[in-house]
Amino acid sequence: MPIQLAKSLKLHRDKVWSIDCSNGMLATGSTDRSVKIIDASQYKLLDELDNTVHKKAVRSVAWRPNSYVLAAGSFDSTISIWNREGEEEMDNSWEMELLAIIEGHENEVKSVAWSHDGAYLASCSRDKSVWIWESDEMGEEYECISVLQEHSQDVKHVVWHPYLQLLASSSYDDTIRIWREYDDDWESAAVLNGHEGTVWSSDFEKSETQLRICSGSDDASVKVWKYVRDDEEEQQEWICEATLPAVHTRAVYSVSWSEDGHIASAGSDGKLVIYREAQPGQWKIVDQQELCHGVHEVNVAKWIKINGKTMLATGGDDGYINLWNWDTSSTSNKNN
Amino acid sequence: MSEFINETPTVLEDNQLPTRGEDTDGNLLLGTDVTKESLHRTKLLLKIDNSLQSPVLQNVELLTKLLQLNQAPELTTDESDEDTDDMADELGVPADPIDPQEIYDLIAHISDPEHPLTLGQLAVVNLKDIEVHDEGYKDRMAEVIVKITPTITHCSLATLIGLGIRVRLERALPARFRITIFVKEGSHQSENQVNKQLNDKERVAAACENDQLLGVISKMLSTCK
Amino acid sequence: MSAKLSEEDLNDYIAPGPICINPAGSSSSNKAASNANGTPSDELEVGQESSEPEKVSISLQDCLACAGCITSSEEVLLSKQSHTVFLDAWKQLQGSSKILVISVAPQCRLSLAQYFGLSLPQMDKALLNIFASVLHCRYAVGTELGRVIAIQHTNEHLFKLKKQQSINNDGNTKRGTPRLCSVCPGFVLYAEKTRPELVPLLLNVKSPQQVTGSLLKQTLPPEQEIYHLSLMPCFDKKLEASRPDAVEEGVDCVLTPREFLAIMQELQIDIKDHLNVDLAASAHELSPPGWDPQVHWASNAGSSSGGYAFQYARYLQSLNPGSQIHILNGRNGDVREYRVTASDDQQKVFGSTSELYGFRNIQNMVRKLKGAQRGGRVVVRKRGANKGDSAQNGATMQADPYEGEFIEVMACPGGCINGGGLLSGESSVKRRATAQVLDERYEKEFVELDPLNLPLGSASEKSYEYEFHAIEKSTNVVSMSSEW
Repeated sequence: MPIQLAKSLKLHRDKVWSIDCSNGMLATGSTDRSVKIIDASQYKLLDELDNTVHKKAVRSVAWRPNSYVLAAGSFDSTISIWNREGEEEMDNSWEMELLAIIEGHENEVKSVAWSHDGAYLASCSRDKSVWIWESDEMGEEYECISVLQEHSQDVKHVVWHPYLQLLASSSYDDTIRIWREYDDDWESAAVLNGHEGTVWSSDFEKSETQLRICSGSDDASVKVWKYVRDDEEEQQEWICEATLPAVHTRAVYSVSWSEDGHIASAGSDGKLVIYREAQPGQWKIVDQQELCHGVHEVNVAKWIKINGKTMLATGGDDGYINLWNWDTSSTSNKNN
Repeated sequence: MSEFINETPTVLEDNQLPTRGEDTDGNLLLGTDVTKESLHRTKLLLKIDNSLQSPVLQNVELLTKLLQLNQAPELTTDESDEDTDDMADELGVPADPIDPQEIYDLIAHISDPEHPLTLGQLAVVNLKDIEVHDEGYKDRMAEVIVKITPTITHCSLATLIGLGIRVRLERALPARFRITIFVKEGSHQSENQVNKQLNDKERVAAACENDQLLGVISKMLSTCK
Repeated sequence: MSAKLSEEDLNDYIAPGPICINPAGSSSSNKAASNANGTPSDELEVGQESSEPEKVSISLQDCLACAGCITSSEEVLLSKQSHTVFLDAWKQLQGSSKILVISVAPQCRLSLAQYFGLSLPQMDKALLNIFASVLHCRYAVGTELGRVIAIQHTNEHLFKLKKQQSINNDGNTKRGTPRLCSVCPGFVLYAEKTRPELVPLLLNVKSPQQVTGSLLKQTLPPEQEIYHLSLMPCFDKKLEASRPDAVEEGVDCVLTPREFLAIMQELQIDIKDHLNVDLAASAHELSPPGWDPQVHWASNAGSSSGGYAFQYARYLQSLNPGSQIHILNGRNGDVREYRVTASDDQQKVFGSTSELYGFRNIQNMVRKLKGAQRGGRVVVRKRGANKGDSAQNGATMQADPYEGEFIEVMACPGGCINGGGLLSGESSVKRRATAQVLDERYEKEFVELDPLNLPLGSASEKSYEYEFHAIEKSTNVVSMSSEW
């Protein structure tokens, strides 16, 4: 069985909503309003952010690429930005200090994400909008570059492409929107229709040869969408390339696409499922783990890399972070 | 919508609401009405005689006397005292699965946000509209589906009522329960909208952090027993 | 901010929102309200929809007061000013002593000209012909007179504030917070609804639409009943006309060029029938007594949203002989500053004013102004970086609207020339492109007058002021229930 529990950490007193990994550190966000920073290889708690900064649940955390800057989006409608105090590496002290609190959204912030080069921060909210922020190098001053109001409902999640300046947002209006820069502003490049329920999460494929995105929805399905270009007719569009084999019996809250092409999904039914593409457009289930967080729902599932090793991290309503080993050398693949 | 399903509800008196029957059969020991006290008692009693068939256990009067006379040894308290399922597990059998009546009892006494009447009295919640799938095992998921019948078809209070029911059930039921609340088909103008909102875990979680809203809900739940 | 109002928000079917059923307190409705117990209910009636003749009507105040149902109440208000409503009212005018008066905003004239592929004078003539021969209007006016008054009053207010501030500061160079233009109803509503801290900063001068309405009333005899139709670039203007503090100006219906097209369709008006024909009535004949068509149909220098910022800069310049106006660009095309400095010393600033358009820029403005008001920055702590002298950095100065005295804020990116009711195309990309074209045309094709030097007589002595109120969020249970 490829999925094996490596470590279970009771980090929070309440639901864990979000996990992000960078430089071997995990940041976690929870209903208990705190954000914890963990050394993922030694399972050591490095810091716990001041839990009086946010007046409501911390819903989403995101590390700025190649830095110790962390953004945390909260139900209190603000986004806090933190950075590591002190000298890096040399210093053993590990403390995060608050750099800024960004206001602007009218109500709960649901997700925050940094572009691959750290130049932009995207945020989305129940106020139906996606905002794009630009900050200075220090990460202290923030200016709103764009307010995107094309979704007709609550926007649940934002994610950037790993190499391109492309943003995807998933919404309660059952669609995913792709956004791109245009002049000094941003515009909606595409709308992906097909899910029959709120789209909770999406993730881009880490590929340089094709443009694809996967999504998880309230309708219990996981879909893969592809950007196709018909050279003859010069038509470009997004199509729904595949709906992954049905395993989940309830809402899928989180999807993640690994560097080596596996998709992980987890949700309300407590299952963690891994899929691989046997043939282009044909997906098979590699493994599934039931009751990942006991009888509790799983809110986030993410592929992470610790010391060069690919692993999975999940967070659930039980307040636990579970780290899973992913052993692809195992030959007992189910449903092969 | 020309037909209001619950247009002029016949307001029920409290004693007309469906309840569990009187416990006359002496099912107290391992009956349907498994309460904390009864399980606790059962534990005490089983320390006296392990067999359930013991004539000692059958004689309730004798047992009461015995309990009063005997200083029953202190039981090691479980860590999760609130969870009666734990005790049930110690006995080696699943806790009694929760049934619709129990769910009904939990929510029927929630007050309507605007009237001094409860949801049971207004027939907004009805026993027949409650579905439960539970085997009683604490490590397996279970499901509760509640269908509500709001009194006005475009009543936006339906979302508030649904939220109140959700909060009540989430607090009262063990973690293994997946709660789904629907507005009964045909009883509301924006059914789909309302249903979607009521079953969106994130929206509900955020609503529960809204102090004003929580205040209203607390008032609604204050009439619960 | 709710996305700019658009035509999609106009829906002929208006479903009653829950809040629109006001608690029926009166006794006449109790007979239906009594429930099984026989006890009369003075709360929301259970079950029965109120269909009694005594319907509780909603006023703008009730609606705007409740944040929960704000969209559907806005819908109700918008529906009172649709083109069908106008046509019904117009049909009633035939045979009555009530006269039709039409006022047209310059951006609308340009948008229609662009749509029909005409020059501005050609379009103006065609419009006048349609107004006179088909709609039988008695008067047709441009809104420039109203705008000139708005500009002059804005300048006076700002100057008064500036003087007061220097008295308060005893010559300190500390500047106060800039005042915000209140001519854009989209922005005003946004401030009142969601950014109450901005409300005290709104400059209390009414927009050309409202001032024009008032001027018409002042010109015509009080017994003369008027139906005032105003053609405006966006739908928010309808809400402005229905404000409680707008009643006396009597703007009855605001329509956008899009709706005007719908009227043309319904009345089967073909634009070609009104081109190159002898005018049924000249601009002069259609002007109210004392109104010079060369004035009210003209425009003025400055932005295509009215030029308020620019005209204030000119005003400052006129007060400081020898000074110059520098135009500084902001971080994007929708932010621009006019800085008035001494011509020999650019560091000597006499004053400054800015244009700031679009929601994203408004957001940045809100945050900056909030921070300034609190006396601190929103940023918690700075680390070492030297930012202080960026303003003095000679080479390319960047616009800094927040240090100025006045910001001409418009909700639409591009300003009024990109209003939601104009005929600029469907996609936002197309609209931006059209807006740019219109902007260029605006500068070239209008006859410009100088608002600072136009004598207006007694009309300009009247005050035209709004009453802004931050709208309290309703604690009503019903509105709360739909708020999560």
